[in-house]
Amino acid sequence: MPIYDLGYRGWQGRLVPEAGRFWAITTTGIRLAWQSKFLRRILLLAWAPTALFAAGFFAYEQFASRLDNQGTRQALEFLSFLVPGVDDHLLPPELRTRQFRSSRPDPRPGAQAGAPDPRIPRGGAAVGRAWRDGRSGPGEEAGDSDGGRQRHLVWSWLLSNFFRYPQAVVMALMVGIIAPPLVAQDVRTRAFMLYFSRPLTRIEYVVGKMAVLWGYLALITTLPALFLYVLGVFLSPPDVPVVWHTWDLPLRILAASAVLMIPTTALALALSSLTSEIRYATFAWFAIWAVGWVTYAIVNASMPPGARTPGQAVFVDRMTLASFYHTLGRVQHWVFGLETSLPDASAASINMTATAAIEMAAITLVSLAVLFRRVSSPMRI
Amino acid sequence: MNALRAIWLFLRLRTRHLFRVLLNAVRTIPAVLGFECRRVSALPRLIITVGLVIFPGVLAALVHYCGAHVRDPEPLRQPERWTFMMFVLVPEVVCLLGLLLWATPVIQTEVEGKTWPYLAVRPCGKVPILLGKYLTAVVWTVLAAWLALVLSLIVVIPSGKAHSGVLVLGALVVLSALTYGALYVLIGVLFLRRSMIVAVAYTFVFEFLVSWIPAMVKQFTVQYHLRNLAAIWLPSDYVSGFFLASAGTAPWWQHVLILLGMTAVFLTAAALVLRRRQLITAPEV
Amino acid sequence: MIELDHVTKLYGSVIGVNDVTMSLQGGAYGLLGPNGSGKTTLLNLITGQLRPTIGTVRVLDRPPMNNVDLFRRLGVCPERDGLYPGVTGFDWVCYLMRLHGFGRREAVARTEKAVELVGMKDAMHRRMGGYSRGMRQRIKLAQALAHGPELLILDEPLNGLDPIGRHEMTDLLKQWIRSGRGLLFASHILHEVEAVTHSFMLICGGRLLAAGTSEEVHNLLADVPHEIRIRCDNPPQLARRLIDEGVVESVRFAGEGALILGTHRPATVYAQLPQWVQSSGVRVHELRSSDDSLQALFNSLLKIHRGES
Repeated sequence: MPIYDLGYRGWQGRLVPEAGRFWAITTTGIRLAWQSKFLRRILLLAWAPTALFAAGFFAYEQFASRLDNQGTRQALEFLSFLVPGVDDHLLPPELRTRQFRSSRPDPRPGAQAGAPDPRIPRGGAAVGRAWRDGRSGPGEEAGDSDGGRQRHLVWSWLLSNFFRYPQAVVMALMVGIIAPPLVAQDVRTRAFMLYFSRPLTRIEYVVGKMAVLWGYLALITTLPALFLYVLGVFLSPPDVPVVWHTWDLPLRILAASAVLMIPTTALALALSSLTSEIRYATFAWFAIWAVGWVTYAIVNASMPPGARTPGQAVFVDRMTLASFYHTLGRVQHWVFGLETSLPDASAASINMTATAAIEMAAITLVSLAVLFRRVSSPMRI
Repeated sequence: MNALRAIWLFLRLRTRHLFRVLLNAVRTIPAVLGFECRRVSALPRLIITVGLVIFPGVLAALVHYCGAHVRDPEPLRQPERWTFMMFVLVPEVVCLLGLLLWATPVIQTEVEGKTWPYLAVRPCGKVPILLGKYLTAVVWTVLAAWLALVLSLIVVIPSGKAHSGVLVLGALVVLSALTYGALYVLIGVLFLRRSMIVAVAYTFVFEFLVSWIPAMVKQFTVQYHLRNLAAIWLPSDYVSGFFLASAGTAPWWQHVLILLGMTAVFLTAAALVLRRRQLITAPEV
Repeated sequence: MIELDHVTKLYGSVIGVNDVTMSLQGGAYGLLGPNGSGKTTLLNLITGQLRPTIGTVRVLDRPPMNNVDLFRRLGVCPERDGLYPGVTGFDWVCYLMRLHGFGRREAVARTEKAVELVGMKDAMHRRMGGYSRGMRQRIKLAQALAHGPELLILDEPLNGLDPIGRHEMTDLLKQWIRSGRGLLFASHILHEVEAVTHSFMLICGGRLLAAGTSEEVHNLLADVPHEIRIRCDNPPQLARRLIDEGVVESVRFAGEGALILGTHRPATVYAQLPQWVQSSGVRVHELRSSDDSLQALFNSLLKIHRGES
């Protein structure tokens, strides 16, 4: 019987472009993660804070920005919950809520009774400054007759706090669910040989895996934040050029999402690649957050703000770099242009923000280096 | 009469059976403890243990030396501050992280490693294994926490009755490890695949937030009882506002009994659930 | 020894085992079935790892789940390799003996004896992470034997063994049977089971299709036509010729130039086929008997169950 040597025959049909090959890994990863009911429930829960902050936008647009409206006081109390201290500066003195007054006298020399206390966090002080400088009433700032600067600040604070508080916690939980098995399982089952015996590069593999996390993180951060922005636009007075005042916020939302997603996914996947046992990767992920947060909290509590010397204040500021959560928050503040509105804003703290950004970049680069090295390890002799 | 005799025979049989079960458990648990302790001395676990041990000392050094200034040259010599810091770091952070790693996945590791079928078909199988692994987690955590405490004393010894403060914290470490270990083991048995996530979420939401709510619900948290014990046992100059904020009027033995009771309840629940569960070694998803 | 009464096990909507009733007295039995047929589920039900959704299971006259006394008398060797890579084989088997309630000295003695019996004495102090597949299989068997059970339940025990290893393991099992103890041995390879025992049960799709000796099973198949697959360049012509010769019960076309014929006289067909092919002028590319595989055996049995033959 003759044996026909057919040789290798290449596929004649249409191939997916090289740039799109990572998509197969991403869609598979998303589909596998989606099978978890637990994750779906967390996704659902993750939108609950969106409703809360949507109410904040509503409260500001419908009541707080028009101080003669009924329900203003209640609206501002609610707004103060989301952006603490804001009502102290939007309300006339007789309507200010008592709970947001500091119970201790302002120790600063020359501090006036009833003046906004910078020890009260934070966003309200900036809003107040925007409001007080050369104006006679709310929304009537010099060169800001329709309250544009005030609106931009309040919206920025709302969005920044949205990223910083509820969504940061949900993000940590969600990444803790999805990320550990993403690479660890491939390490355990030695799947790299299967992956890289296909025309797939390491970069495509890594991007594919990262995109799984990006997809889910976008669902809980970027999309809700954009939704809040659009809601704010729809709820704003029709005669005010809101989009003109706040056109940059969607871009800042995307930037803040990138700041949140890139270092966290790189770190999470690097931890996942270091072990074949998922529980170690999960533990390492939560331990990094917990240890960092506790470190900063302890140092901060050990040196109370009111009794701090300048040297100690610098030390405490530097300790934010030990906490992944606080470093991320710092950079996000900067993305939303809120850095200068912090009560202790100074050249030193602005430098610290730059350091925080460098730290984030360094974490990203080191994590990617570890990830690439681990992914290549089965192929090294 | 016959019915009484039947009941008596039944009780005798059950008691004998129970006695035999307990005897086997008593003999087996040390075997599990020894085996697991040898296994946990693998390199990754040792590295994590070392990290947990040195963390409080490093942080104490940072605060004590870098946070010092002319008006306050030795910040951590103040007993209040030292106690607050050590309480947060040792019976809480170190214990919780250690137990998260060792107690939460007690059964998950066996199921995913496909070793569970070999263990479950032994006469002294499921429950002694669960208890043995629980004890291993507690022993390692307590040792790591005590070492961390000793190491932090090398950095700074607070003024006043330092030995009392250390002894109290040492005792709180034991109670914290016992109770949280049992809780995490129960979570690990109930939520095989997501045990660590559930444990983290539970600890964050229930233990750290709910324990500060001024309502009856806080008494169901371990944190509340630990803080109260600290407030009662520590010398007065070691007690800060942190401990007094949620202090109640119950005596110390009540808090200890509640913690031990919670431990017993969690472990019993975990054992009962484990006996009922059907654990097949399906691949993880 | 083992009794199952209308046992069904469901995993959600997936049927693991479907209405199985059997009663096994003492002795050795083979559980034969292709991959995914429900063998492991059945063994898990017998060893108390799973609870039946419907029906009852009794082993050595008692329900197996959480049955401490039963586990003393049962030795189980699962299919999956659940071995701690950083632990030596000796330590592992010793630990499992301690879980039986033996004291340290007795556990060590039993472990040494079992490890020697399976031929792992030289490697027993090496870490199991460095064991070959065959070594892992042996150490698994050692842990099943070490406590001297009355009934041994093995799931694919010969997987991964080389021919010498298989031979040694088969001898060991035969010795076990000769000592009067029970054995239930699951495999998907017919001759492996036949080498150890002549009684076997056939399971497929979660259903127990047949039970008995190999002769009884083959007799059962006597009325089922033997299938032969022929790939040629003119299947209709060949089919016509075969039908004219009166040796076939059925003929069907299977696509790609193949035809499958069923016959009760396979010997005649094989003897005469070359002549018929030559005289028909048909060119044959491939000739295969579908029955030379366990799957064919099961296909035939399934047809009987469905009433198709």
